[in-house]
Amino acid sequence: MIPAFSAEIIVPILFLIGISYAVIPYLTPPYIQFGVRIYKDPETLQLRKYRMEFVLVSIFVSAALIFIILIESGLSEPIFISIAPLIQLAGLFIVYLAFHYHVLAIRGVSSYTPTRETASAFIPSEEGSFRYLFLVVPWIFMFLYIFAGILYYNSIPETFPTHFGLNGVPNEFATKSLLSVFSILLFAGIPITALMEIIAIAILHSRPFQNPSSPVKTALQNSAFNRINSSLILAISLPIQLTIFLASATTWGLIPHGYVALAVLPTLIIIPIVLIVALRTGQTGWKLYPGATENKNMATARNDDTKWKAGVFYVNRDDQSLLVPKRFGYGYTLNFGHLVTWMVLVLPITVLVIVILFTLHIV
Amino acid sequence: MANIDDKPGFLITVDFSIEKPIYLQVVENIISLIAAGDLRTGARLPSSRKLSALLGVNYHTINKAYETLIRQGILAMDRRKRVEVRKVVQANLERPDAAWINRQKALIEEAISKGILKDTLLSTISDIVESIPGRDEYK
Repeated sequence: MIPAFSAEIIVPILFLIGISYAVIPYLTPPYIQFGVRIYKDPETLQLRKYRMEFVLVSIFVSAALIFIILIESGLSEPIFISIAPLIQLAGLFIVYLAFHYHVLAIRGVSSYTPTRETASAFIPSEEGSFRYLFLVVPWIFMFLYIFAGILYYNSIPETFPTHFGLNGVPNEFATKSLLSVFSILLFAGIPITALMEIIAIAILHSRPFQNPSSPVKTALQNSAFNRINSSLILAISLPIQLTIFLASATTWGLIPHGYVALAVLPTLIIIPIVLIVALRTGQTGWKLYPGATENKNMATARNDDTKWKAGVFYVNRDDQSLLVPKRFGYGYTLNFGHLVTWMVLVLPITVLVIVILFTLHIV
Repeated sequence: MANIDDKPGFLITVDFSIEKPIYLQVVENIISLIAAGDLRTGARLPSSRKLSALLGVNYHTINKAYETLIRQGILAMDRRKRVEVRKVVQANLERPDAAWINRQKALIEEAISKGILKDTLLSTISDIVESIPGRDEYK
């Protein structure tokens, strides 16, 4: 029997999170380190040393957590196991903050006087186009999964399990109906597919980014970075859909109940895939077009440090963009100075609270 | 990949240290690009959201620049609200509009009041016209 949610499952997850977090300083461009914009020569600030120190300290934090889980059998309680990644991320964030404020201090504020005299924007006349046809692919899979359910519908027993305990034993059952059989696909599969598509399109409209010392190169990198990530989001929606389908198939009896934990496996490949893409492109695509040189030198970068709280939370009311490239990490973050961001965050929580209140018969 | 200096595209630059309003600088940038043949008929301009983010200026500033150019008949907005370089209207080829003539009149009056001779004035104007590559349609 496959253990559902135990140390064997959580340790690889913690390991992948630990590795992914440790390499972040190597993903971010040389001019933005630990969430701080670097104007000076990075060498003089000994950033190479700090990057290595960050890897060591963050790996130590993750390793310590994994070690505690492995030796302390009392901690392999499902409750602790399921919040372990949150504890890990909190610990890693504290490590990040220490590095962020240290680099901020050594970079200094007075050393940089933003000569915001001129600003330029390079607009490439031919931009690589995103194949919008890609958006259809996840829906084809969704259709196939629903179709599989239709084909198998007659073989589903009149009463079938809908929920499994952490030990893989079913503990809730439903009476067969069109709604109950397809509930996971309808209420998880379709909304998640739609959400991933919305994110993929939003990425293509995320805030453009150009480094003034190499506008043409960064314009190319920026548009390639957005196209790659948009495709990446669509690609990772496929294993998520597969997990949802496998969960459905387990309730239908297509997969033996003892193997319910296997449904999680497809989603586990997401972290390595994202990590490989991230290491090849670099955050904001700074590793793309490595040999490209140009002589168009433009105005200096604007000092936008003040818009980034702790180097990770972007709050800019003057910016119309919803998504902006992250400063520390890979991918994008929301502009917390934008009303839509708060709507995006508050709406699901409100729905969740209402659903909970109704199911508990409080309302 | 080698040098990418000749990658097709155009550069819009604004100067914050001079008194001229930013929207007007953007307007003049775009007019120069069209006159130089860098922006051809039908060429699409970036959305005001995108251009404002790149220049670090307010979104409404770019909107104002685009609105000005649309009013002047230089840019046009298509059905999907994308801004592009407008096709030259045949009537414009024969005679510039009154507003433009008035602006030129003011400049020429300024030159005459400074005592610049008629021949010098005409040859200067001719030199300027020759120095600008011009739109494809005029060649």
